[in-house]
Amino acid sequence: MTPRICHAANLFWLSLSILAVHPGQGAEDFDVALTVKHGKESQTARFESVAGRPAHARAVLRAKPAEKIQANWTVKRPAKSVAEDVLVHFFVVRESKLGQKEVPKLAPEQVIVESALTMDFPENGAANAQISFEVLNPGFYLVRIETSHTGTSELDPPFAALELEVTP
Amino acid sequence: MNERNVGHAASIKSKAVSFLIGLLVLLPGASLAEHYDITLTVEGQQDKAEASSDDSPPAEGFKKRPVFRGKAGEPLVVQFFLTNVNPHETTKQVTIQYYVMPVEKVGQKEVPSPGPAALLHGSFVMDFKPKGRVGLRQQFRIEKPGIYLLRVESVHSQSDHEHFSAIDLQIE
Repeated sequence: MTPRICHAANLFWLSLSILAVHPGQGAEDFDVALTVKHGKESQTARFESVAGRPAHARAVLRAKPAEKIQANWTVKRPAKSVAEDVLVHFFVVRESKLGQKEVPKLAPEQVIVESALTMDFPENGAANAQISFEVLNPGFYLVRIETSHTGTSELDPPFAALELEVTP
Repeated sequence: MNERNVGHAASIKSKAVSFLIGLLVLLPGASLAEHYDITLTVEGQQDKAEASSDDSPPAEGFKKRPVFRGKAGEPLVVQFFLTNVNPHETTKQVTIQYYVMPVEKVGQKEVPSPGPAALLHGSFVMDFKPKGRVGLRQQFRIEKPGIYLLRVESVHSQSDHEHFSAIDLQIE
């Protein structure tokens, strides 16, 4: 085995041992679900992971300006470990187009609603919310729920997202 | 870095500059002998009102409610932060709800429950560890002149009393 291959093998086993020592630190230790509805129309999204998974189109809910819209989200932790000081962040923000890859900056004038909470998630710990809102201006909007804590990779956060298309 | 990772990097950046997240992290919790510290504000183009924590019962609390004056159709922003200031206990599955409901007069003692007439209504169900907190910032408008109650409150907080913060909205 050449030194370079040996080094690569060591890194491989080191990464496995880190995963074994911290089995509860992965992003998939959270179940995240988001439903957005108005009237009888609704769309649901569940946990999406960034790293190592193919991109897919976000579901789109179509609505009229000033229509009452309700977002419901749930975050659960099935893992057998405690995730401390988890930040659960929800927002509805205007975007340039459907399917926009970049999450828009949360400039106050572009954000319809934003919420955040902090809590520890023990095994089977859960939080949920129902938030009603309306969008007055036609356009495209991203609805997103995301969680983060010290054990979550910044490249692979648990999140779920949908889009709103508001047309006159 | 692929395109989706770029998207997440942007998300982290946007999170870093998020007004709400910044306040959630930076605002100190009050050191009161109470369970929850609440700050509620509503802001329009001409007026701004802020309310702090009150206790229930009685439903209307002990403090006089601030009055916000605005115009029908005016863009409004509501914001609240609620922090668990009990230094010893985690309270499980507490409901925090907020709403805007029409009422008959400013200072009305009867507190309406949020229902189909609510212009704004939301709730969170979560565990509160010491210093645990929840915050919200939301745009809204009221199209019809009248008097409205804006209120955020704890429900089923496993105590003999609940906490709330409320503002009367006088819309002309």
